[in-house]
Amino acid sequence: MKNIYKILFGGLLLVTVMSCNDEFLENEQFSTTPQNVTSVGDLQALMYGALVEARDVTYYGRDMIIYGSVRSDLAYNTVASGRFRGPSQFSMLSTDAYARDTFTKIYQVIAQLNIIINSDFQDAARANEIMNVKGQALVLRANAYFDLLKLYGQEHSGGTLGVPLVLAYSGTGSEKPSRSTLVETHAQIAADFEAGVTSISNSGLASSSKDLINIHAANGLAARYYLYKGTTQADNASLQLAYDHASDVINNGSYTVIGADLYVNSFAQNKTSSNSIFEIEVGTQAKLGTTSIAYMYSDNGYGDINALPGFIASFSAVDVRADLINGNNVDTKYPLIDGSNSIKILRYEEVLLTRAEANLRLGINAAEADSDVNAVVTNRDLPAYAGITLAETLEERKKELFFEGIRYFDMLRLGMDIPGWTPAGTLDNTYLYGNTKLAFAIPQRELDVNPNMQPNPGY
Amino acid sequence: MKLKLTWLMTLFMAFVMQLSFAQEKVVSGVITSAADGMPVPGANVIVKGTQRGQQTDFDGKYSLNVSAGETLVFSFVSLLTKEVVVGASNTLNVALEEDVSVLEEVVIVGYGTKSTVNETSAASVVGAEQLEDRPIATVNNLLKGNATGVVINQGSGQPGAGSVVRIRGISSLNAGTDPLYVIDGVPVVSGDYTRNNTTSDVLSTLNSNDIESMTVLKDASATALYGARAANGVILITTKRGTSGEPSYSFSVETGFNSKAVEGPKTLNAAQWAEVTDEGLVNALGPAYAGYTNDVLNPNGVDTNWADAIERKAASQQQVNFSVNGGSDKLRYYTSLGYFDQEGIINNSSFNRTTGRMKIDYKLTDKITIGQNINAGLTNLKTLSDGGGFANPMLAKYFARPSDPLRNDDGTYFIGTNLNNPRMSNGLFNVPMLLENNFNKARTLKLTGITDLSYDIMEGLNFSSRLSLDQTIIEEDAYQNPRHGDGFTVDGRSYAYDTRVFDYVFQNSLNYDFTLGDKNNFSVLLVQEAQKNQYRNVSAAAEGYGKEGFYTVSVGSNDLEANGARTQYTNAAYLASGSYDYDGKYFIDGAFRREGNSNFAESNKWGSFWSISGAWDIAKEGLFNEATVNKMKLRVSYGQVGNASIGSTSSIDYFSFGGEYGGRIPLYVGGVANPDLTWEVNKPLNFGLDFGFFNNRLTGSFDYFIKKTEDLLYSIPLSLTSGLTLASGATSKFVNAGALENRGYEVSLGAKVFKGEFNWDTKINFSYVENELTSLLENDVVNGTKILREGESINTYYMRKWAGVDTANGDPLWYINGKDGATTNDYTQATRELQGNSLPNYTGGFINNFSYKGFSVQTLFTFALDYKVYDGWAAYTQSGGQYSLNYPGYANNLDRWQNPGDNALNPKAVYNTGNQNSATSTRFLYDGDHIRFSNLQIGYDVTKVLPSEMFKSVLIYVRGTNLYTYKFDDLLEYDPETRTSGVIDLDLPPLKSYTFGVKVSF
Repeated sequence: MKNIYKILFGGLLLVTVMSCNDEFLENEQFSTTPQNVTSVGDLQALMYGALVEARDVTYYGRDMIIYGSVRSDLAYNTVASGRFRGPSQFSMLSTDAYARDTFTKIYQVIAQLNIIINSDFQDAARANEIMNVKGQALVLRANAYFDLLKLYGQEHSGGTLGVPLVLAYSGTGSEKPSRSTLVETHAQIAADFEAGVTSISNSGLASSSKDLINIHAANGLAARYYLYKGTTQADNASLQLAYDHASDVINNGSYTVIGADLYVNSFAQNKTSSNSIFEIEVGTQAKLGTTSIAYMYSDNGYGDINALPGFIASFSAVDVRADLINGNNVDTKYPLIDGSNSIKILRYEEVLLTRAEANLRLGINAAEADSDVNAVVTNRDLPAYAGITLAETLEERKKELFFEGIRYFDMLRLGMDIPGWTPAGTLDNTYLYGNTKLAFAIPQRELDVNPNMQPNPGY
Repeated sequence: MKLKLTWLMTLFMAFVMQLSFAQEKVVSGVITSAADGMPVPGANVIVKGTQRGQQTDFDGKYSLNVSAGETLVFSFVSLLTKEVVVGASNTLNVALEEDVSVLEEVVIVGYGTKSTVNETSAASVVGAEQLEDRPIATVNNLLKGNATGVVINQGSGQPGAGSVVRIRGISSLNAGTDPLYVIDGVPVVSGDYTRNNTTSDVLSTLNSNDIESMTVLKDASATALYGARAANGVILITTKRGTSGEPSYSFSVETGFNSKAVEGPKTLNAAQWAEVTDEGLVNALGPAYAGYTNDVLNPNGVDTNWADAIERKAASQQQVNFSVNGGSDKLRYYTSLGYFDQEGIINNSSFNRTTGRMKIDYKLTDKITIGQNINAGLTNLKTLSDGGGFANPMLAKYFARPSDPLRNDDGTYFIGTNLNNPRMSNGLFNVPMLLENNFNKARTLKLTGITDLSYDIMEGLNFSSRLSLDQTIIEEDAYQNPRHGDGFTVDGRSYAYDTRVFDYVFQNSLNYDFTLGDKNNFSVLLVQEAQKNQYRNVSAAAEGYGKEGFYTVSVGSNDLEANGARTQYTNAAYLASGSYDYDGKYFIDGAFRREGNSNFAESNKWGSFWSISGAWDIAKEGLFNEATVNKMKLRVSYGQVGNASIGSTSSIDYFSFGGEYGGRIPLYVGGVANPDLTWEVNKPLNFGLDFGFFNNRLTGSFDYFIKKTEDLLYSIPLSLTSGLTLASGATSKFVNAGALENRGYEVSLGAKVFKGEFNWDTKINFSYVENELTSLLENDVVNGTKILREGESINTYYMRKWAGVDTANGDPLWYINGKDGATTNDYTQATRELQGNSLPNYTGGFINNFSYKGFSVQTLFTFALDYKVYDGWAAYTQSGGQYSLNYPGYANNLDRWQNPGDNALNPKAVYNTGNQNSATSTRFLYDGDHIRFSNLQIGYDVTKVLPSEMFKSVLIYVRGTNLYTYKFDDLLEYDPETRTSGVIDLDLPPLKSYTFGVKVSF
């Protein structure tokens, strides 16, 4: 009997000693891995991660598209659900969640891209793939800074400041950057676009998947940027670059303008439509549901963002593009109410219209401008133009790309005043070009922690 | 039934008791109380050195077989034990003297028990009588008003809701602030582990009728034994155990109904809504809109009262409890069954619980005792959407238009006219329809088994070992119907979530008590403890349910979610503590604990915690008359404890996984490598005085404390440009920086005002705590409606100050400087200022118990003073006409400015106004100060008029819970008891209950 107790206590003692060694206190992780890039696959996975972040509702998943549509001569916000009140009614405060969340998300995407861009991981056998993914990261970073510039830069609000440029991932959180100037910001965006295009091109790899950035997506996004810069700054060199990058896509890509019969349906196609150059994949697993663009646009959801009557009336009766509008709802550009459509970022039609505009501004080749624009309009059941003007090109651009997050930034680069609308769709106020409210507020959250950050005036 | 049970228990006892048949003669007698001469029922009579014995009956009588020369031991709680040697007489009547040291009971302290005589620390004890049969699902809620230094916020009237318990203020900014719960010596998990329900608490699996006492440990001396998890105080829960003697049964049944403790804001009817709305339209858009009267806005003349449609007419409340306990000097047992069922006042909100408990201690040999303590608790919870969810019934109450009908003419629910998007006219859902067709359920099973082994190595030296296995299994099901609501666009949706928490604790301790000379008493304790906590969950969800009534995930045609997660942490500790006293006059205690926690980086896993305390009982010095001054003990304690409540990824950087991109596997960067991160250090200093006067008829204690927290685990916001935003949305990292302090005092006074036939006991608990942020890494951190500023409380509101409505033109006004003086109607011109704090500074309870013959009355008032609550939804529901057209809001919208000179509550109604009148300001900040009549029980013991051989007592009672709430702020319409944040978030209101019960002991 006594022995049993001895054995028992001996056993207890043993368990005691075993349970208190350092191994017992190891921090065991089940769903994370140390922060080391150990394969090309890791770099690519980080790229996919960046795109997943970019499809968040606070960026391309919804907000970026809505900002570019609702602050314009296209749309008004009924504010029935209360969403986008600050951005659409120019009543934003520095604590506005939209201003804060989009800022946050874009820098989160940039952090992810910076790891890829600055990675010193080498794999001689797969150097092309590394070069390609780094190129994609550079293009996406250029585009991210372009988006930040459009929203937060002071280019159209009377200032000289751009946005903070964070070009390396520190992982410490100790950065407190100040804002670069507009000039510096533009320089970085241009450099990233050029380096990205070169890198993807030199890699020799051609991705056919529309949800990743291939060489044409890279050129097309660069063309969009240079057109913006060229018109804003009346800078012919940039317009020439816009023309050149667009031409590269038109000459070397195998994209076609979607025909009138397929036009409405093309917006329902995920990654298969012949006119689509770059989309951000969403899919049913990650569908955005009630936080999707579709839910904001369609009366089957909140239906708060409506097309203005004047804009609807501007369409010719035969224009197939008017078929996208149902009542005052634009509910077929992002047709699936569950928000599972992939988000179209760049379409071939835009590239054609970009080249035509740059062409006309520079006076390079009027016939080519005609043919570029006519390639679009004849596929919309409209008659062809002969000797198209700049104004007509811009009007076609507006009608082709409406509600896709482009118009507000087009109006800004064209130096236009921005109308603000009441919830009934009547003109409430006009924000003259240069008004401080044309730039989003730098989030108070950032100003609170970063003494080097300069606010945007007016908030 | 009863007989059968008795028979079963008897059979059971026959197995375990070794009955002795040494038959000599029968001795009988009556045990009385010396104080009043009344018989003492239930007293123990045991033959010394044997297992023979019994309890006295209702008349205090006993009858026992003994032989001459044996010693009978007579004992009863609160009376002095008496031993009498059996002589020639067959009758032995005994009068037991009152035990003056009755209040010097043994209290449960960390890792053991201690006589209150020796206690040098600050602790509050709440006994079973305050815990039994209350119609309250979660046991920690019962501390309210019953213990000093504890603030409890229930926040929601959801039955089974989690409560927030704060002991001596809030001692951390970003690490956990919940106390550590220790049940029967084992640290347990607490809080809400559900993932698809709005609120719950795993502690709600515990039946409060099984609890013997709850001890709240507050100062360093009491908590240092729990080291790195003790910073927020410790709540020790001790469950009932058997007492030697014949089986003692208790059976109680209770039934009643629930309603709202506070009515809450009223709603607008259709005509009132149209009136306010039309006025707003005219004011905004001109006289052309003057026709938008009730006839136009509401052509069908509908007037739906949505509040009636979501609320239960009679929410029921029931509980049944049964327990039996008893034993011999070798074996003691307690076993119980309990059932508790509570309906919330909103349809589809409910909680029920079934519990079973068995606790057995068996003396294997003279030296070795083993114990087994098994508890099973099963709860079923149904919760509702909260906050801004369209399915939240509290939201529907104020947001649904009265002009929308509840049902169509054919009796079906009205879900709008657009078949492609079935919604009511303002885009919201018909919530009563959802309440009937949707659900969120959680079924929690918690199984706990504690095995104890105790070995008395020699006189005073004891080794004990304890293994606790604790498994919590939560199965959650949720369903959104395909016809209407969130499930519509996806043809119905269902979720099946499974969550498991396994926790094991292994403790070994060595305790040595010895005395040097006559008066030098020592006690030394060494403990080793290891704990491992493993969490895992699996989630599945699907959409596409063609047929209603099917909820199983595999029925859904479209898989939505298939997720799983695991985390774990481990904790290891070595503890040494010692206490010394000299002659019961002078006391010194010390404790040291070395503890390791897996959540910290390699170099910082281990920390040291300690305490030292002393006490001096002046009453023992012979300076005062011993009968007048029974106790006057001065106490002081100081020490260092910690707070390690952070997650397992708080100190590392990583790549994480999750989701997909076009079928590809993404990686995400996250976390900040943080090797220097360590415990938050908490240094409580406590001065106390315990006293007892007039044979302890007047007792009480006073405590003053300063609790300093240093190296705050502070989640410092990082620049958003760092990209270090976590999945939670926070861009921050933990650092050890800053300090805060909680200071305050606690007074507890008890008196036996009358004693004898008529008894009146009274007790008041009063606590004051103030909080100050003494240093902060960054100053003036504004977070929503709050600010962190050095020198201020961490719960300080920071917002613009409302200056009322401009009587001339109905504009909203704010004070420009945020305090007083000049006003402005431009929101942006007004500055934000400090506007009070959200945690009550003064809290307490007032208990009065009366009894006369068989009658008894128990009352409890609780109060919380000096704090403010903010109505987080008033921006919509009291919007000055801005949202009136779509969202009617509160009835108080009627009180609005209309004509110059009007002194109105609300500004001029203007539809879609941009004047920011309902933006965050003190307009919606109210004093939360209140006094609540929390408990009234009126009972009558039938056996006092119908003496029974069979029953010891038959108590019939009625009880009211939260009968009346007095609010100091007339403008506050909601229940003043809200979340710790102080924000009213359209939660279910706390309950008022009326119950009727019978409790039988035999």
